[in-house]
Amino acid sequence: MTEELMLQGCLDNSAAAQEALYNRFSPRMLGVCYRFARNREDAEDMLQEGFIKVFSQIHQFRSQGALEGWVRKIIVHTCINVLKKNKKFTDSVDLFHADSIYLNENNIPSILQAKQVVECIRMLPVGYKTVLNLYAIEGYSHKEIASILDIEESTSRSQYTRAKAMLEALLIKKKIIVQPRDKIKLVSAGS
Amino acid sequence: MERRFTTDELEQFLKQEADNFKMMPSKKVWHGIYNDIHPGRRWPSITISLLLISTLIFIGHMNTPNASLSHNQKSNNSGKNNSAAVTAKAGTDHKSPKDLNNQGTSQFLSGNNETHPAAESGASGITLEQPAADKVYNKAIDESRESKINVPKTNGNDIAVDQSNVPVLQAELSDQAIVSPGIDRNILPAEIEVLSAGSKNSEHIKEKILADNPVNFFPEKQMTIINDNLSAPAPAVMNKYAGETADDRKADKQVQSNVNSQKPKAISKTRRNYKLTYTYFFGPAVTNVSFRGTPISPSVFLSTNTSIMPLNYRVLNHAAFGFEAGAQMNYAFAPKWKFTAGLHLTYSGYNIRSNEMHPTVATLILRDPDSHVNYSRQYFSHYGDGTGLTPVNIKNHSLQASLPVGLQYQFFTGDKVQLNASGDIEPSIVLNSYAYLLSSDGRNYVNDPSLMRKANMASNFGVFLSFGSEKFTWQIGPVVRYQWFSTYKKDYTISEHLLNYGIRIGITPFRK
Repeated sequence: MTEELMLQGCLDNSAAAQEALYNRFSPRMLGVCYRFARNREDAEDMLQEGFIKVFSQIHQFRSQGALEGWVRKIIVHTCINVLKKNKKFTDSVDLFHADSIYLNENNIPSILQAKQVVECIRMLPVGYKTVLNLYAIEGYSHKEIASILDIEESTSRSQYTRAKAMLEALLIKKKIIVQPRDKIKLVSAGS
Repeated sequence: MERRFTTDELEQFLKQEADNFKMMPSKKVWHGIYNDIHPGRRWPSITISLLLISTLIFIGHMNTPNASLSHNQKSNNSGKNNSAAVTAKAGTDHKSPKDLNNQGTSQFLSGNNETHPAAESGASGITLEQPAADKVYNKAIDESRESKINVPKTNGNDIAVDQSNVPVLQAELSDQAIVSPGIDRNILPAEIEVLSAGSKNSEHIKEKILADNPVNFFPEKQMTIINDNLSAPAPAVMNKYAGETADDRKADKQVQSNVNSQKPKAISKTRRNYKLTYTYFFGPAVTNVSFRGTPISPSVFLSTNTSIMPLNYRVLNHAAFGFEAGAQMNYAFAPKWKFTAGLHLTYSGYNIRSNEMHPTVATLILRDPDSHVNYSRQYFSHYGDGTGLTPVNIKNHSLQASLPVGLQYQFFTGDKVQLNASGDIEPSIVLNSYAYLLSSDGRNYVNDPSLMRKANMASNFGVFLSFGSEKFTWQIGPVVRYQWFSTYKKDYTISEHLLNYGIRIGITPFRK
């Protein structure tokens, strides 16, 4: 089913078209949710809530951009809203005492590299990984992040800097990348 | 192999890896989304669930002993803050009146092993609205205040205890020794009377209470007195009497006789309807079939082809097993007669002896029931009339749901066994059916669901024995069911009538 047909079917509230759209985008969107969530169950809850919004607001989609980008934006905002609602993000301990967090390498599953990287991101404190996800992966500016998360722009910058440093350390520990920091080397899987 | 990254390249690397990351969500995610965006499609399941739950609740309620009695007790207990009834307290333990007579009241009047004679002897079976009791009680207090009565404790024994109400009473009665700490506001008029019986002005108080609150002592409107509860006093009461003076006993007896003389003669407030019973049954059946009518000759319809003549129009068939099941409500409107209604499911059918053959065009000559104009339909048939070399059984069957309405008569009543006969008419809906019709030339069987009748009418007649066990009445006996209208629509001029012979096994729960 083409994207146009899916879109038209979703506008007509066709269950088949909705399921097709869901099947096409849900794996990647669950990956997005998983980076924000504490565990898989939370990620699936976010995904469900996000897709409900997608289908209920599909008529607002203008075909000027990619449908996937629009869906992704809704999913990300849903994740942020869930985090805010659950007060996970506002946990200040995560933000200011993150350096003392013990990193257990055994928690990082040694499977595919993408999975390893994502697991490393998920090991960051909630505040760190949220800012990192939004800035480095989702492409939001610090100003937008500050607006979304109701924090100062400077806070977003500092959080991101710390998050990136911690993630680097993690990736080096996991031997996904190597020093030096400015000249990061990626150790490819299998080498 | 190594690739070098700058810090910005790290971000790019992260983005790339994160974008490549995918996870397969579980099925329940989509189900949750689907149910949320298509709520209307959940209604069938919700409706069925609600129907099932309400049916189960209804059946459970109907089969719960003392359901209506408990309801009465609850209604007495709830709704008003100060509307607690004595029997409701005892009744919450779900004890029989007999048990209550023996022990219930003395247990409920906790905090003291001995209770008042009036409470012991009669209170356990009395339902009294609390406001009325309060009125009597307050009146007694006022009277005793006026007359400066100092009612002694009966042999030093405290009476009722309900600590929740103590402060109020103690505040009111702090300067008087009318009651010991912990008198219950649920106190009965009889208790009030006995409380004051030992006082100097007891007769005066009693008369005053009776004069001011006559309704409390004419309990037809307010009391439900269970016969046995007002019998001889319990041993505890006798012991209590042993410690009293002769005057006290005389006064108590007088009060007791006063109450007894004015009590109703066993007012039964039970709402249980012994006339209404429910029977659930199941039974195997054997179905025979009879045919009426004559087929329309193809030669009449097809005047140009007079060579087509009907052969021997005969459906070679033999009986097949079916079943019937259902639930039935029985209402006894006369000593030996019961009105019955319910829901029956009947599966019936028969086997046709046919034979396999090469696909052949078969014709049904039909007649429009309104205009009486003949018309024909052609079918491809694989089944012959049963005279071929490759015999095969094909089955005509139907599943019908019916709402029977009928009567039941009791012929004989023995010590343990009853003999009953029942008959009903059953408007039916055909839930599912599959039938082969013999073609007009009698050579082939064809199937045409559009010729099947969707509704029908049947009668059921049966004789059965009833015998009781501890909790149920069992029924067993033969039944015959006859289908009045043809299985087929009127277009098909042959009418088919099913006749079921079966054994019905029923069970009727006792309604205690």
